[in-house]
Amino acid sequence: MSIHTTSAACSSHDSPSKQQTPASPVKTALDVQGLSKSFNGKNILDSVTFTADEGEIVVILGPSGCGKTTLLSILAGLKQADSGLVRLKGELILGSSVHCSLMFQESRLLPWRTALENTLLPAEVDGESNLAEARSRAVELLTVFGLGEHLHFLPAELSGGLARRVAFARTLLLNRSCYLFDEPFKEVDFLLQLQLEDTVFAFLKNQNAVSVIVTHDAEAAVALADTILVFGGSPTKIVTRFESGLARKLGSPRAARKSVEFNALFQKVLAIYASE
Amino acid sequence: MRANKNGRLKAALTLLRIAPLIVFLCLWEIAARRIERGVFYYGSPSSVAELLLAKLADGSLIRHTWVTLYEVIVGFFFGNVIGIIAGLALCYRPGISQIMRPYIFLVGSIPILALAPIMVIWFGIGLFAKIVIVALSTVVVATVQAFEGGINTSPDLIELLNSQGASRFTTFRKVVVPSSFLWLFAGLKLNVGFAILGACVGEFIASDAGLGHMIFESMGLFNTPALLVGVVMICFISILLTTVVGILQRKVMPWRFKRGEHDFYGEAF
Repeated sequence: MSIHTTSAACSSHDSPSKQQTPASPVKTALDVQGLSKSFNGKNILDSVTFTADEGEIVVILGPSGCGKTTLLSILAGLKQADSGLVRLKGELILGSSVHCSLMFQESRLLPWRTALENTLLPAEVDGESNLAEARSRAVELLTVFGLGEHLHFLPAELSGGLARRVAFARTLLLNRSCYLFDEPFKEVDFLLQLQLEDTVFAFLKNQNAVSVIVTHDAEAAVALADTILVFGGSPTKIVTRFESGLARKLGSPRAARKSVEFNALFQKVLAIYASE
Repeated sequence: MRANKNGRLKAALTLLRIAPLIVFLCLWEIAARRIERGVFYYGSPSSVAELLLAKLADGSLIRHTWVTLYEVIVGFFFGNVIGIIAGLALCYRPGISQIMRPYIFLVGSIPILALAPIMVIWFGIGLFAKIVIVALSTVVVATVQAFEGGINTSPDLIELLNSQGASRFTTFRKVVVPSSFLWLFAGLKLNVGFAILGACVGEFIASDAGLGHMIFESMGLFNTPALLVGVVMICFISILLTTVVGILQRKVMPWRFKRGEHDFYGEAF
């Protein structure tokens, strides 16, 4: 696990155990090298470089409009970078890929499909032959997210919070090498956010997949992340990188939030984040 | 208590809807009787009703109505099916739509009155010519509505499908087609009127049966009540078809109506 940025002055140290044991089963899964992107002559992303291991939860923390969404779009293959490349499990990502599952800022549910049918969409798109199995998995996921009673509700009948949970279930339905979340707790009330953090973390911690969560919420970043990348500057680059791993150590983001270490790390992250 | 209130509201609404009609019919009846030769020139509700019952009894009205209804339904069906397929196909291949756009506009801008005579020359004065005319008068609206509906699919939803690695066709099938339904049904409702117009135009030009024929013939005979009987039956066909389209829409897109949304034009009642 390593990071190369020009201004990583305040970077906390890399975890040596992971970097110096090439024979370890934990492998670099996501490798992002020198991504740059500009729109209308304005540089949005400037040479963003980082790697993430299998199973790692990376949180990208940055202010609104700093190009985080653009980065996720590039990782998901929806947009092309001007330069740089992305490797997922050694494979170059070029164009739309089925290795990633992206959760958008908005819930984006199809209005004519029920919660369950919306959750099943990726399986149908993927040409999943065993839809019955996908269906039981979808029901299970929706139940975990507290939608057991709302399986057959249409999006118009769901509150914003419930719709958001359907979007979570849909994103997690299929086994992917990479889960990407764009502001997953946007417009979610705080108590529900705590609940969703725990549910999502419980799911992601057992996966081999890399998870990249983009947010402007420094607390959520500290609570969820194995690694926090703070984005800032114009054009945007990685300013600093923190190791958190609190949730993994203590079992859940909620437990992490209650710990003493949480506040200490949060203050450190905030100091950097607020200065950007 | 609440149900009771709803029931009363509904009764009041029905009353308020019927009241203007009753007032109008009464005024018409009185005026027609007072004016010299009023019933002859303007007809009257009672004379129209009387004639309507008589024509129903001798079977002639049913025959004329059936002919027009048949032309309208078959022409409406083919015009809309062809139009919807064409519209969605254009939406699937935007390149072709760029080429076809001026032609669609051109065909759409020709009034059906100008096209109908040539249909009669080509297809004769039978039912088939009328069906072609009805189809022609509906096909362009259906094409344009289906195309617009497809084109107006939310780009967010298309991006969602792209992020899931969907093929162009899968995106089309799962998102673009269902998205087009709203526009598509708006087109169908407009087309009820255009279909009936087409059938009447066809029957005016050359025919031996149908409500249009009956109206045209009554005009020649200065038979106002008979003419109005034709108009009443055309209203009946229009209401029937609009209702059928409304029911179809509820079946095809129930998600539009779950929250008690009401489509004003879709539900005549």
